Amino acid sequence: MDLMEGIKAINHDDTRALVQRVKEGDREAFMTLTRMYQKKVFVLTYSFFRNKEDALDLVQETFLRIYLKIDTFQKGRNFEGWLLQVAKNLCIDYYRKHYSRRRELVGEKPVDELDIPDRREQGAQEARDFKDILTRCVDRLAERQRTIFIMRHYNQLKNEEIAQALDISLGTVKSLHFKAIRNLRSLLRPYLGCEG
Amino acid sequence: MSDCQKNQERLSAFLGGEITDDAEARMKEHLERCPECRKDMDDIQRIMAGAEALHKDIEKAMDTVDWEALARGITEAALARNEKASPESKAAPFWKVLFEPKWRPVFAGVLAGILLGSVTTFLLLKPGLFRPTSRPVYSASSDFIDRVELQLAKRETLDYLEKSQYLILDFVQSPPGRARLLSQDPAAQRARDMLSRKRYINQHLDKMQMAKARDICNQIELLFLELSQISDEISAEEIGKIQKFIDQKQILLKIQLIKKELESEV
Repeated sequence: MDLMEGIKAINHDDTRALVQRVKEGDREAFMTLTRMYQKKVFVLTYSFFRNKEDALDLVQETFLRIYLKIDTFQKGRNFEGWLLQVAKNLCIDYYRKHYSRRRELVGEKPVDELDIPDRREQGAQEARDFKDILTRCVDRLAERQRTIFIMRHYNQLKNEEIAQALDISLGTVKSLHFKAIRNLRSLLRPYLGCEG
Repeated sequence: MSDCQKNQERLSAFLGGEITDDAEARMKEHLERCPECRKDMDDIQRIMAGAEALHKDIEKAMDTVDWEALARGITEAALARNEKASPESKAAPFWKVLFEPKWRPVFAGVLAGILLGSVTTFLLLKPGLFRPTSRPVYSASSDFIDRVELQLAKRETLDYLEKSQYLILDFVQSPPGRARLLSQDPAAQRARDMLSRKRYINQHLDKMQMAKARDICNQIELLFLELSQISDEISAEEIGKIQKFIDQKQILLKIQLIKKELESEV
């Protein structure tokens, strides 16, 4: 899918140069940086809310925050990591403010204490609920496992591409992905109907 | 069990997208026989299916977004917000303006002045460095002080009387011609000294209860007044008169008595 192409082809040297230019007040550089990363942020915000309007609002808010705080971003840090962290924090704030009715899904409650519908209630509602639960469970994974899972399944990147993007070995990507699946299975056990 | 362990490895390869046809056939064969591994596989495939469904949702949503317009809109909003923030930074609070680099030397100077002033004040006020430490204060009752003063006055008077006695004796025992000679030696001067000394002990005599001593001292004073005025022109007759006055008034005897009285008290 060509929509994902923008997500895959990001050169980190370009990013560093653009960040420097944004710090110097270059408007075009900021727009280019936004073009490069807006889809990645959207994937994160959409998987959080499963609602396009909210996801787009959060994309905009994330880039505005980045623009205002760009002077605090230190050279040598991972820009993408910082960007996604800002986006995630804003999502959590937004969720608490506007989705309080469904707060239990992101609260401190363990997943197995959530109000999960019975598996036998078949249909579209069940599929939607499973996606909701899966989204919340992914958010509960350890940082690196979550990143790998999202890049692999939501962004549909190959293991090699993930390894290159995160500057880690292929073996580490595979290991983290396996752990992510194992932990998700454990978190989703009540819904999946596991007994052991 | 060993087959299950092998299947776990294959599962890992399956998740890694590296499963070969041969491995896939072996896995299928094992899954048919092992319900536990089949359950594992079902769960994993369900999770993958859920993730895939979510991915499709995301793709659908992304399809409908005008990304170029979004990037432009975000950039304009960022610039507008930055411009809004700028006037605030221009009208920075007073204390922020003071902390600008150009004011820092002034701040440093003021701070140094305050520190120097504080240290100087401290050193000046601290006893023992520039300010002498206060000496120990001795206190005594007024009664004790009065007694000491009385004793001193009596000793002073006694000394005065003794010297007066010698001076008068010298004068009285001298023949009239000799007395003239005395006037040339320091006798007159001695008398004048004694007069000034009398003025000094007057304050004691007035204050203290020494009425007798005061009487005799006053008489001696008169005598010394006469003696102090002895000059070459004074006649032998006049000197004889003074000697007679001393004799009549029994001044020497009185002095002796008072002296004894005072000596017994001192």
